[in-house]
Amino acid sequence: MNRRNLQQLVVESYSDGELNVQKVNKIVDLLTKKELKLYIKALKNWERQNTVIVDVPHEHTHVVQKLHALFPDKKIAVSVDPSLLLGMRMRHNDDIYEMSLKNTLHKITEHIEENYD
Amino acid sequence: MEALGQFGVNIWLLTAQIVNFLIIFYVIRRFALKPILSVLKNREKTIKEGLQQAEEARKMFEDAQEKEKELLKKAHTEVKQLLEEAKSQRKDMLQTAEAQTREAAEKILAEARSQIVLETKEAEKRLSAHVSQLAVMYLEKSLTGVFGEKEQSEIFDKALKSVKKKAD
Repeated sequence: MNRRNLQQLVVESYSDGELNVQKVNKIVDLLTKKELKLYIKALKNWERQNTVIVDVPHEHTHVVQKLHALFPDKKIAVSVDPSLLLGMRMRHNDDIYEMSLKNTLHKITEHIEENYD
Repeated sequence: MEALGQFGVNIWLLTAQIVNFLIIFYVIRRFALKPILSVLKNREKTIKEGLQQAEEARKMFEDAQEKEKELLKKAHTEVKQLLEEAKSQRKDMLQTAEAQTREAAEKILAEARSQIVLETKEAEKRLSAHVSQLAVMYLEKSLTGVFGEKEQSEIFDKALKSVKKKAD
């Protein structure tokens, strides 16, 4: 199984942007152990590339809508992390965007620690 | 002769006495005088030699005394000089040791001061970090729930704009 076939299997595993369990089960039955490992890895990679994970301090309306407007083809996963205090933390692929009060306060602490003379 | 007889001198007796005297003189001179003179000469010689030796001994004694005095004087001078040198060396050694001790003490003090400064700075740094961490902890705790949906929405929109800018 080459890379293109593997990619095609992954794409076929989704229906309307969601993982289709029935399709996945059918595919799994047809694969060897080695191919199954590659398929799972490819699925995880696909999920990572197509999912935007957002942490917010508390739930509020329009978060998912606003994020969909920014990332129209991506899945949006929102989780609540009260320790952020204010703002948000977003992970997309290997990028992390953090604009939270907690992060700002920690940056101030680090700055004080590093620049103390 | 008659005149002598008038004076009571018997010429024959006198002659006999003279002869006797001469004979005794000859005998004494012949057999006793020479050995006695020889003994006397020997004795004189011995005494002279004794006196000479005594004189020599006295001179030697005086020389020895002189030499002893000189040696004592020299030894005294040398001892005095040695003592002076020892005193001088002792003084030098004491001064050197004092200087070295002072230098070492100053070095230790300087190192200790430097160490104290470093440690104080380090402690200040740790304290500052600790205080700032405490302040942040306090802020985090006290700010929990302070911001409402409005503030959160505003900040969220700003964050999204920033992300969009970066993405573009």
